Amino acid sequence: MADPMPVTDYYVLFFSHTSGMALYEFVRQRGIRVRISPAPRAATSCCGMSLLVEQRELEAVKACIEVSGIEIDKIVLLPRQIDPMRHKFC
Amino acid sequence: MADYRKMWEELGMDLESHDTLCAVLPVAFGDTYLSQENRPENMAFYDFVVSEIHGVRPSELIEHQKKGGKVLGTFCVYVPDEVAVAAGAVVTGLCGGSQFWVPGGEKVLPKNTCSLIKASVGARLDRTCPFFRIADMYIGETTCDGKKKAWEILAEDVPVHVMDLPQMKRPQDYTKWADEIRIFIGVVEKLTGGKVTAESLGAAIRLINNKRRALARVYECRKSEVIPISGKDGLLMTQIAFFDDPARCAEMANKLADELEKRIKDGVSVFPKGTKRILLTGTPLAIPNWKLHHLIETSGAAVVCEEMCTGTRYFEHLVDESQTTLDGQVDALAARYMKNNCACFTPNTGRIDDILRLAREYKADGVINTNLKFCGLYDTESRSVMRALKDAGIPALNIETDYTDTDAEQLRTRIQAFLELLG
Amino acid sequence: MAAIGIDIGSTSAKAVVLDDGGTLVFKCIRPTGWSSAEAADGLRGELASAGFDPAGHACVATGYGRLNVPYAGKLVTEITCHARGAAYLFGEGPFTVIDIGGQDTKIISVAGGRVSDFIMNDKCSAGTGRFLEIMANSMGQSPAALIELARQGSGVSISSLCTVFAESEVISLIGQGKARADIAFGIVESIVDKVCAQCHRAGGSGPFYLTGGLCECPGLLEPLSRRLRSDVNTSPLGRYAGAIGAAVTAGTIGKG
Repeated sequence: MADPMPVTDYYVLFFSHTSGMALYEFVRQRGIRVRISPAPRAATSCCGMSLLVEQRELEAVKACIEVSGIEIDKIVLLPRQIDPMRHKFC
Repeated sequence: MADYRKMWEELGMDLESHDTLCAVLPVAFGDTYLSQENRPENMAFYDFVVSEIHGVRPSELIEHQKKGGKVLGTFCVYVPDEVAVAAGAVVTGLCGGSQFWVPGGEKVLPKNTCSLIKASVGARLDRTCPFFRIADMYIGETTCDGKKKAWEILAEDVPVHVMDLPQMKRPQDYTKWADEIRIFIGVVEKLTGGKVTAESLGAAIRLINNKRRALARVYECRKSEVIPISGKDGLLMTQIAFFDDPARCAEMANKLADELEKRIKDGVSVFPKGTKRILLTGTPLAIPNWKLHHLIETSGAAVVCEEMCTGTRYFEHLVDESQTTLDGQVDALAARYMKNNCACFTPNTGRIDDILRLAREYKADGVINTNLKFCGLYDTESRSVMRALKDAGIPALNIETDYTDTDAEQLRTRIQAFLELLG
Repeated sequence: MAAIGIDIGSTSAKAVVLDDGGTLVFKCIRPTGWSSAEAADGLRGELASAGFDPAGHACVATGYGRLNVPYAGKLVTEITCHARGAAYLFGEGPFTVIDIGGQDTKIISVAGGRVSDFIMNDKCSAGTGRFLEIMANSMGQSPAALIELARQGSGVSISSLCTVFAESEVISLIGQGKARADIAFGIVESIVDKVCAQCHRAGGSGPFYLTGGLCECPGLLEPLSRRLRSDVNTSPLGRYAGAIGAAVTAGTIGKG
């Protein structure tokens, strides 16, 4: 049996949290579900917020970026970073 | 991405060590918080604050300092924020809640000191937390022996003022605490050059009371049969309240409460019907200590209340707003703060009453009493807490732990067994 | 339909089968080794060759490796299972179960066949099977042989609760030429001390029942009973208590 497709997520990175929050509000007002997440180390060496976007919302979020003209740094594709049973606390 | 490195450098931080913490926070926060389903929308603000935890708020504090303002760092819910605010200072909480800072504290403290003290001292001395760098003065208190000696160590590196908290609740102790508050007023006035007047203190009392009312509204929602918010999210709101601007804190908590009240009306719960409700009592859970909540809530139960400094002890009881003289206001402050029931008091039967009352109010199916390893006061008091719960017929589990990950599986087994016992 | 109970402990893995009437019809035990998944797979093989393929029966897994039993229909903690297993072996209670496990020691109060309260040791290994194993190793003995040897000894006490320090203490006692039986006595007393302290802390009242891998050592039952001033009993099936409790739980699921 082939391995199941690994689940992946997209992280939208920003140069400033002001644009990050602006895009969050813009996207949310259009009923698209995204989450604010600390940018994972696998995506960037900088600290700060990112938007966590699931595969099915990606195109809608991209459209929002285009329409709103809000500046982003880049969108990074990563295997799912979240594991509630990892038991690595801070 | 926003780059705070320049700011951290100017604060004299050890960037290389600090970077280790920056690398693990997204993982821990993702696993603990973003793994949850159907969270209230208004948690987005708190997710944002955590994402920018060492950036946005520190920048605001630095802006305040650039305008000549002062920042006070505090470690305890007995230290009255109102006084600092009235003198024009900004208060920030400084309790360390991460194992990351513990080894730094262990360089100068005995092994058998609790993780909270070790982490707090480590964060300062290792230069790995901006809040610990920014604060112009630390306000300590005499709530345990470990802290009393830790202030002496910290005072070698940063100005520290210690408030002498009485350890009994006789009339003379209320008077003494009022005197300590008057001394504190003098210290803050000297630091800021501002003046604490009946007018400014009155305004500060109303400001902080409003924050308490807002936090209490969210906790009120957690009493509902429909559980509109996870315990983890409730805890996060409280933890961040220690760092945030009090007016914004109230505004955000009120927005969250609006949403939760609507959720209750609509029957929106984040847990399935019949989920066991847990009251967590004991030592504080400083940010980013989310271990117990996570273990409990991923074992199939819900934390509905924290009888902790990072919980009800932070917001219960308001300061009397009707006083118009400075003396009257100081006495009102002393009266409110002395209502808190910390294990450093003897006797401390008020805390037992609180726990039994909260178990009833929050409809708890069981109580988990937790003690931060090496906190002798709460550890000793756990005996009377457990006995009172037993007498009241409330199932209870006692857990001692620290900030490390290594006991997670064992704790999970205990918690699951306790939930099995609840049926 | 028969009910299967699996208990993957840190030292040994156990499986039992109870028939419809609750009679124990099969049991087996094997070392857990380094992989609880492999141990679970081994148990499945033994069950299948005895005619109890887990696929065809209600099956509950417990113990520290319970997550690695893919064929179990439900997972239940060892605390609940030990209490139910003890109730199967010793009656509805009230009584107190002392389970000295490989990794942890549990004191469980049982009433009406159910857990009424419990405590476990902290991260520290003092008073656990692991402590005994390490001490026995440093004396070139098996744990059971060490407990037996201790019955002839006296006069030595091990003061360190920390396993690492206690081991150096044992090595220095060997160096001083102390009699082996006396050192063994000190080791067993140290475990008994710690276990009794836990019993007192739990407020456990007699009668006491010892379960776990060491339950058949008279050299442990006698000092425990002396120090607790109460009978400490056991059963030859005591080491299967967790697995029996899991099977009892599986049986209740089978009946809906």
